[in-house]
This record gives sequence, C-alpha cells and structure tokens, in this order.
Amino acid sequence: MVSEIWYYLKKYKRWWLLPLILVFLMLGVLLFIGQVVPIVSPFIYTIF
Amino acid sequence: MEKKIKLFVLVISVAISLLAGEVFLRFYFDRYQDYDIEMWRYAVKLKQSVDDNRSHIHIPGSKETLMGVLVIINSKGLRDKEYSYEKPEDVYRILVVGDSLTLGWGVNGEETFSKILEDRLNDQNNISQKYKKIEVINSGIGNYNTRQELVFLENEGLRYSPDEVILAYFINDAENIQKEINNFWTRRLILYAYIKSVKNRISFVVDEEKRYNVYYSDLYKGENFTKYKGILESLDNRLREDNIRLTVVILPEFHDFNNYEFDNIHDKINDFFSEKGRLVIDPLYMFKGSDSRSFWVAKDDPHPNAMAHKLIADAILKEIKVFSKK
Repeated sequence: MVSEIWYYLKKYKRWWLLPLILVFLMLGVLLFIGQVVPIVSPFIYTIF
Repeated sequence: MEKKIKLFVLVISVAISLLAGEVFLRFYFDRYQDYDIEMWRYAVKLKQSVDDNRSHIHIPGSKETLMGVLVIINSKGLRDKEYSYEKPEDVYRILVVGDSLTLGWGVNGEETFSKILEDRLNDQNNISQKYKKIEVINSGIGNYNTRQELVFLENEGLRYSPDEVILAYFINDAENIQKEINNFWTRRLILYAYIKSVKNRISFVVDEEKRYNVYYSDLYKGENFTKYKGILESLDNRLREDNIRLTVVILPEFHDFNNYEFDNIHDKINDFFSEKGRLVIDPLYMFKGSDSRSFWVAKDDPHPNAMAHKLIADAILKEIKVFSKK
C-alpha cells in the first residue's frame, strides 16, 4: 500500500499531499501510544 | 523560479497539514476524553499566571466542562458558591485548602467532600448556641503544592477569616515544582500539547524513577523532606498566629489499595502534625483492600470519584471536632 501511494504521488506529481499523509500518520501513532501506555505517572507531572 | 514555487507550495502544504491535524485533534478530544488533554484545557481555560509563589490561580468567573463535569469558578476564584470575605458572627467557617482532589476534579461541585461536609455538619448543627450555620469553603486549586497553598492562605484564604482550616493533604504536596502555563505554543495548540503529553507518557514507562511510586517516595527522603518540613512549620505557625484551628486530612493515593506503598508517608505527616497538637484524620482505612479503580473518575484518571469523596467526608465527620477548643 505504501508503494502504491508513493507511486501515485510520484506519477501524478501530488507530492504536496505528502505532508498531510505524514501528519495524519503521526497522529495515528500518537493516539495509539496514548491509548496503550499505562497510567503510571504521578499527578505532579501534570505538564500544563 | 520553479524551485521557489515548489518550496512555497511545500511550506503551504505543511502549514495546512498541521492545521488539519490541529482541527482533527480538537474534534477528536471533544468526543473522546483524555486526562492530559482535559488538564490542558483546565490550564488554558480556567487558570491564569500570577507573579507570586502561587504561580497560577483560577480565572474568576470562568467555567468549562472538564472530564464531563461543569466546573464553575466564582468571582473570587474558587470552585464554590459565593462567600463574602466578611464572616458573619453566627457562622463557623471552615476553609478547605488543597489541590485537584479537593477541587473535585471529575466530580460535580456538590459531590466534593467539602460540600458533603458542609451539608452534613449543618444537619448535625445542634450543639452550639453561638453558631447558627457552618460554612465549608472549597478553595482547592489544581496542581497546588503546600508552598503554593501557604501563599494562597496568606494572600487570599485568610481574608475569609476562617475559624478552622482543613489542609487536605495529598502525597505530592511535598514537591516544589511550579508549572509555567504561559508557553505560547502550549496554550494555543492542542497538537503541541498532545505531543508533549505522549512524550511524557513514554518517559514514565521507560524511566522507572519517574513512576509515581518511586517519585512520591523520593519526595519524603532525606534532605527533601527536611526542607519540606520547614514549609509545613511555616503553615502551622501562620495559622497559630491567628489562633486558627488546623485539621489535617491525609487523602489517600488512589493507584493501588491492595498494595499500598505509602503508609510510611502517611505516618510521617501524621507524626509531624500530631506532635504540634493538630488533629490528623486519615481516611485511608476506608479504602484499603478495595479495588482502586472503582474509585477513579475515569479509566485513565485516578482522581477520586463521587463515591470516594463521600467516603472521605464520612471519615472526616467521624473525627472532626467542630466548636471545640482550638
């Protein structure tokens, strides 16, 4: 699938879509990690 | 020229992509709760920086739904109904000082142990001819430690002329970190805030010293605790100066009641204040051996829920000595 997407971007010169794909991939990874990492943090690390 | 155009398009594409990510996350977290993001919203919507050692206070008159619960801040910056600074003669006033547990993070205002205490004490108020009413003011502010609570008392809390202060003590009150909430990007971008949040979560898993049990225990060792006792002394002395009764309620740490690792810390705080003649109430016995998660506000948030607040209020009611000599 990755190679197909890359082929499409390259062939139709839609390279400007790449940042969008990468941002949403990053969000997917972040949300996955956010769900699976257990809560072991103390309240002190309220980072805001 | 073509290269410049391509670069320009790339920059615009990156900017739009990040904006799209920001918008997506805002919609996503409107629908799905995340503890860190809810804390971010608390910081951004309900808190403002101050220059003194409190570092932050509530924005008076602000309100926001956090963890599914509406949090309303009154005109004096407290999550409670309006109370005048001037105390009526026939009122016995108790000021509850604490952090997010006292604030009632994740529970309705009337479900906090402060408000339950107020209702139940007034129901029982048949033992004093002098006082017709008891007020219990919830002055809990999220992320406060004892140092900040002392400054709060000096700058604001004592203006209410309380007859009694309940210090709702939580295990992390001994730390000395004051969070800065003025970072431009943190305040404005949920994407930035969430990246920070996930980065922190990973570091907690990887770095054992950052785990709550290790971190909390270290706060009470050696030089750390010696320095901290100085702040506790200052708080005790300050209330003694005004002849204000101090009752200390040691709130439990809610991660694990079957393997509770902080008995020695409870003992240290108990010993410190008992030696000074202060009443110390420890509701831990109400929770030990129970399934901790049944008392959590949410599956990823070990703040006490409404049931836990009720048990804390029950424990306080069994021992508090209202109207007795200070």
